[in-house]
Amino acid sequence: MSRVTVTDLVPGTEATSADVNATLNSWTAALAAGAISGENVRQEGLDRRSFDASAKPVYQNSVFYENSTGALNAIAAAYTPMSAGSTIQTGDIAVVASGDTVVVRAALSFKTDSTTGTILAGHDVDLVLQGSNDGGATWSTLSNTRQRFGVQYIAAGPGPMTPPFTAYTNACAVLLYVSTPLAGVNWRYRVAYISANDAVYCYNAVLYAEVYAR
Amino acid sequence: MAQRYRMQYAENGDVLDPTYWVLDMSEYAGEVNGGLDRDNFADSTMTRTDIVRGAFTTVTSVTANGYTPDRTTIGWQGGTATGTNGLFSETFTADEDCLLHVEAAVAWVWGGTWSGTSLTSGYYVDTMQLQLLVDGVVVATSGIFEDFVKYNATYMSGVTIITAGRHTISMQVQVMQRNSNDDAQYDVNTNDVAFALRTLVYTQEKR
Repeated sequence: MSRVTVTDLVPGTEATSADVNATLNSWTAALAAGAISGENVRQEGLDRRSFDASAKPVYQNSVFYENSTGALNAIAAAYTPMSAGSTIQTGDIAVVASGDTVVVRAALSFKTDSTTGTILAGHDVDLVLQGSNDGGATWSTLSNTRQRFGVQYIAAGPGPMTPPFTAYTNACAVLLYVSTPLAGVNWRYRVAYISANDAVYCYNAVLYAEVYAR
Repeated sequence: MAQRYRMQYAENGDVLDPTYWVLDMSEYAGEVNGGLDRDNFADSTMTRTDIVRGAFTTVTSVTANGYTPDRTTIGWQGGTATGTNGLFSETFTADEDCLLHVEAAVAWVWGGTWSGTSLTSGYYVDTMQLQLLVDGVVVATSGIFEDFVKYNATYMSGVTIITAGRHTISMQVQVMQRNSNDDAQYDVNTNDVAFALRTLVYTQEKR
């Protein structure tokens, strides 16, 4: 914080040029280019009208898909882009400066529908978020976003609570990812899946990324 | 406040009274020394680069993997550590009063095979439920998940107001057996549920 110090002048005593110049020099220093900082501003002293729209701290890039009959996603043994009619993918998101935080959220509902009636062991659908910083040429799986869905393997079910024998999952997944990427890098994000045994129908999806710059 | 008043306006021939000189200087200095506000700035002149990072929003994320709750424990558990000894327990210091948005995505897998048994009223299945707490107060509760779905995941989100100071966010799980009448009971034979990847994000929205 730049600060102005006023040198006291006392009536009846001799005021020297140094006394006056000390105050004026303090003004000069306090008002030098770049010297004024946030501490010169009164706490809670600024309101919405003071800020340019570019100062808004959150930037979004969102996509929304709705498909009431479900979009068919074929059996995939390796991570493949998920579709709900269109690929669930954002456009490029420019990170303004190093240290900006990006939060990516994806929510989608889907089912797997066994065509063979066989009982599946393990998971039916394996979902992740993927990111690309080269315009979509290459994609990498984002850490800690994996979610798996699948019915329980049942050898035999007793009585009225017999659990389902068909491989059918209807679930809503939310993938959450937070990162602090490098400045100036354009990232895009998508949802990818593995379904080794059955096709997946995705009904609707929302994917959006937010950049918290301030 | 941009309005400042001079104590004295000097005219030709006046003898300069240093008292008023100092008062005039102090009046303006008081403005610069921490008194500037919206009246001093033209509208829409503050841009992003004028604002320090974190002034408006602070986003913090924590990830973990692994944790199997103790099926012999009755009631809520797992909220005292983050990692293999608990779901989440995160303590942070808020700089000032703010809106706290807490959200979490959690994945898990049930161990073994379905273990429903005929007990007192119909057939019971193993279930578990999650809750998200801020300073011990529940801000979000999940639905009840049963072990028919071996691999599953959920998302929880809650918002609360917090004061400046230290706060703790935690996530707890309760493992129970339930039947078709929604009767719940505790049973040590409850199947093991193992928590996998999970992410906790808490956002302090200050402005």
